[in-house]
Amino acid sequence: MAKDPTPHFMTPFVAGILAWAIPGAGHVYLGRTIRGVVLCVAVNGLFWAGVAFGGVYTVDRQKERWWYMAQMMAGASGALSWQRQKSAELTVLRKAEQFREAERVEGRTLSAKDAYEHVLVKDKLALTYPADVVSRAYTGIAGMLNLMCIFDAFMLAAMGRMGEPPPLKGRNEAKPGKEKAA
Amino acid sequence: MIGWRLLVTPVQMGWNHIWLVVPLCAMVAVVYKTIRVERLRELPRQVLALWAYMAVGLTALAVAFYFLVEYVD
Repeated sequence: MAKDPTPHFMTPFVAGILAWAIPGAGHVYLGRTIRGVVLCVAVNGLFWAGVAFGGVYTVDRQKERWWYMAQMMAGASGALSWQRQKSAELTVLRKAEQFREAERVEGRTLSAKDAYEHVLVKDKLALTYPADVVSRAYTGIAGMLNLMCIFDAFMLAAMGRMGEPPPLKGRNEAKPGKEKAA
Repeated sequence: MIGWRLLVTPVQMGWNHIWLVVPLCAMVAVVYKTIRVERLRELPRQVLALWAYMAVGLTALAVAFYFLVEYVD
């Protein structure tokens, strides 16, 4: 195992923060480029597949707080999705207020929540079963998997394990049992 | 699917959404084994093995729960 004799004390934190911000970036920083690329594609692919299933309301801080916390572990993807949801929510709120006003003019009273739900359904943004379960499971699990990557990058850096392990010298080294038999 | 917009509106799903657990398991296996495996050469085989374990385990659980729900009061 390649070891850096004097790893900087900040290296684990840099690796951890990079791994959070961009899944796999922590491993790339530690010289494990192929693993980093695989992790980046897998975590981001899973996350955005979830958003594709559930739409813009997959990340919902108000209604699904626990899922939201898991989703935010996916770093930039999570933050971008949250930003998109907030932006969509502002538009829906504006439309809901206009709808309420129109109903009031016609003599009907409507609560803000009902108007909001009406606009959500009308704009086809409402996230219902089973798309909500699938999309939140995909995005939440992507976040949790990235948490594992963050921990791994942090620990590898803390132990000074930079780069991929060196290649094996012989086949016998991979299987110690064979060495004895020979 | 009429009016569906990518990453904006949700997909309409039926009962067969349960099959989406298969790619989910695959991605879990890829990430877990990418971290755990010592040599990258072993990665594809290890991923396939873990994926198979998960698929068989989840199927066994599903069958067990089916019998539990159907035949046990």
